[in-house]
Amino acid sequence: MSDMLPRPEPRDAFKRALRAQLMAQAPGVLARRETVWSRLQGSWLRPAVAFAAVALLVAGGAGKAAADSLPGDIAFGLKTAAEQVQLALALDDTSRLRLLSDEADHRLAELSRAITTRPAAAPTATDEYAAAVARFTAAVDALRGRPDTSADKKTTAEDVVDAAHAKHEAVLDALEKTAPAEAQKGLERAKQEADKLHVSDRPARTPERSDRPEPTRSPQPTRTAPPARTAEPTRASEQPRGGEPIRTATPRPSPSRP
Amino acid sequence: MGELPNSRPGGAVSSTEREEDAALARRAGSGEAEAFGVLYDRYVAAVYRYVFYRVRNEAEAEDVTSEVFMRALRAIPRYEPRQAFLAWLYRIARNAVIDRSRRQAARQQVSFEDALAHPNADRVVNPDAGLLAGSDASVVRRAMQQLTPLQQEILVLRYVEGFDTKTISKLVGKRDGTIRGIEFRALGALRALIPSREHL
Repeated sequence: MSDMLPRPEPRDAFKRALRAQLMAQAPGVLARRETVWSRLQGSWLRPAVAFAAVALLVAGGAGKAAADSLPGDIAFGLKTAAEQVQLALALDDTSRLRLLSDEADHRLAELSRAITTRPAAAPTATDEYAAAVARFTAAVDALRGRPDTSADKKTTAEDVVDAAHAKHEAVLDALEKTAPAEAQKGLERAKQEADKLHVSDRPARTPERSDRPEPTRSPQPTRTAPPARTAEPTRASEQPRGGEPIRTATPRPSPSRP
Repeated sequence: MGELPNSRPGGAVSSTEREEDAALARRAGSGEAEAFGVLYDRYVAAVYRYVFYRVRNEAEAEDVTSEVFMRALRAIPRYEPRQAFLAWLYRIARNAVIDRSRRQAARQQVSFEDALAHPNADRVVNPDAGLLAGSDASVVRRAMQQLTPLQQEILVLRYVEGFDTKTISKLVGKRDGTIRGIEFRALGALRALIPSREHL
């Protein structure tokens, strides 16, 4: 054996079954997301909301200025006010979570811009980012903790926050490599805030996170290992490299088919 | 520690592949299921291997691999192409492994500091000596499960996937020197754990 470990390969049957499951579920999962705007299609609220939004921006006369603003700018208040309007119009918990996730994304983008173009605004931008993350995570925790929240909703909430966590971590890691030394401390703080987005790092207000049904188990082509297999882990070194390393004395039932 | 003498060719994702991945991910995110299928075909084995050494057995490896791709399917509309697709998958896999380990009450994961506190921790030697050579992979796997998630991740990427530290630094999002340091300490901790616990 070299100083490399064997490269186990997944079983062909497992790969085929999982692919079939993914392809069966993909159309539903990847269906175009319904937005607040699309939900208002055909509703009298839609023109009213549009009018209100346009009036807000025109009256302020600062649409672009608001969009380009950074925390601490006067126009920044207009931007956050527009976000509050959107939040107030959220039709359900999931839409609200997505809006809060978007809001955290916006604060992250502003923080990134502040660090690279206007370091003086970075501390305020970090504060705003931390506040947005706190609002987001609080909403997720509240949703997870409510006894009447369905398992699907909990799963969706955790997916949204997991995706946000991955994205924010990647952006901040990339930023860390290019940011000037004086910005590193603020970045470190921002990364600590981003870590709070990892749903598993925070205890849910529910009695036990493990109580939630595993969202991917039931439709998946895999199953829990039988006790004998768990007690006797496969010795990977006994398997030929590049072959099918997963073989045990226990006959392995075929994965469930979609 | 330099490049692995037997680094597997083609381990790193080329810029062309990365662009292809980004295009496929965009198509998948906009609802094209088969584009996700292509990404699945491309990376299912890598994800499986990434998980394999970090869980107890192959059944768990399959469960976690399934969970990773189901999570990826749901999250792909929000995938950010500035991060390599494989790195994004690894990140999901890392979270999935951590989530699973926390759900397993029976499993105790000790930190690197705990590993260093082991009575034999002073046996840390030059990792170039080839810690893994001659060791039973299942023994190594059990010992690896006592390392921190990041240490596990780096050892798998290095010694299973054969990535060099520069590639790992991009995948993990940490500096090259940090990766080398973590790898060195992880090998040291493994060295302390394997002979004492497995009587090799």
